[in-house]
Amino acid sequence: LLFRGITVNDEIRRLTDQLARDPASPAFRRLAELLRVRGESQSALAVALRGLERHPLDAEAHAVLARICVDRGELQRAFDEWDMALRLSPRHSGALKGLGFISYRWGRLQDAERYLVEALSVSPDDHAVRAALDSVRSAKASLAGFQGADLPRDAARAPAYALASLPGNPPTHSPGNPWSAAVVAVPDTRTDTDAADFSRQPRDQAEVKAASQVARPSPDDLFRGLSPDAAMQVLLVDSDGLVVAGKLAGRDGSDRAMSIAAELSGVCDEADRAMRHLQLGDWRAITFESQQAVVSMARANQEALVVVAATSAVQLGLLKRVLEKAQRTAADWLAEAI
Amino acid sequence: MAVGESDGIVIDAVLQADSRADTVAALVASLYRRTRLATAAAGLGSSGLLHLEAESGSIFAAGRGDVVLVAMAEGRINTGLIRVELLRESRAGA
Repeated sequence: LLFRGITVNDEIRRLTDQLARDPASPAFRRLAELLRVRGESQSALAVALRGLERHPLDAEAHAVLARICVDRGELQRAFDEWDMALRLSPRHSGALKGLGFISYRWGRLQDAERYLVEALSVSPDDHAVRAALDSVRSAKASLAGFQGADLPRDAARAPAYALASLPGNPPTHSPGNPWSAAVVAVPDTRTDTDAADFSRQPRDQAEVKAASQVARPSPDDLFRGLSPDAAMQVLLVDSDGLVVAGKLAGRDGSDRAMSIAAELSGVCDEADRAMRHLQLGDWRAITFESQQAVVSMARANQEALVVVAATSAVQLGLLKRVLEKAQRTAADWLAEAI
Repeated sequence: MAVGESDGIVIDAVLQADSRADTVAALVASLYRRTRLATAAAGLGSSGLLHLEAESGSIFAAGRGDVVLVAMAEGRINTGLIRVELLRESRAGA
């Protein structure tokens, strides 16, 4: 059996041809978005910028560019683009969500909440926005818990441990993250252009780092709260097959973390070898289903692996999302450790 | 493609003309075997379905006895559909 998924490639080719025939076509938005989703952010950026030269007042095009910028880690630029989209289309829910996302990343929890509440008023059935809003409110509650007092009046001063203390929910932009879902969907318009005070400067980096370290979870607690129930267990494993963080117990309650880490790290070497020859690029995730269990793993960084194990009753889609979340949590945690 | 798990040799295959069946078979069978043994040793059960997601495609392998059914797909695909088909074929071939 050999399958060939040609849908996206065909669509990209069709849109490229369409733009070649008619450079003024709005097809550039869709093309840029598809390239972004495929991870080709440089090409996506070029297409979006070229399109915006011809359509500078196209709110949707600015929103597409904003998402590309988020993928590239250029948050300030993404903020500016969503801001522009919102000015051009005052009920643009994608822009509201995006601005909420970035405000959250910057620790401006009140701004984030305000944007998301507004986004929800535009799209009341958007579950991703609702989930993102819940995250923000959890962060605010967590912040209040840390301070043992009321929230600060100025959300721009909210310490970073409000974010770091979220139970395994760093708001990184990637598939499977409710924030990503919130940012990726992009419809319509809104009424109120009275948005945020965009003149605020990012907080002092030393403060961010120091505050983050205050809330740095212990290895045992790193993945606590990632799974909606106790059916999934998460481990962080280094390239030598040693457990770095997390817990994994067998059915009888015995600690199985070390044996699972040691056995599964070898699978990655085998996968690396296969990828070198099969011309499919680097592997992103490996999932193995048996009658008793499902195990899924992905790299947290070049030297560490995240393993999620669950009973076979767990839905694979849910497992995949927990894996993605664990991957981000582990990557952030490791980055802070260096 | 049906492959012998222990030797990685192709039993039967339907492939695109430019595909290297022997290479794919050997590598995927080896990966499947390694994963199966690792999960079994770790007490997570043995024979089952392997799904490897890569940057530009996916590999699926479902084992039954010494035979592994392998599917390789490029680009974005319906993972659920391939998974169901492969498991069905794997059970039918048992």
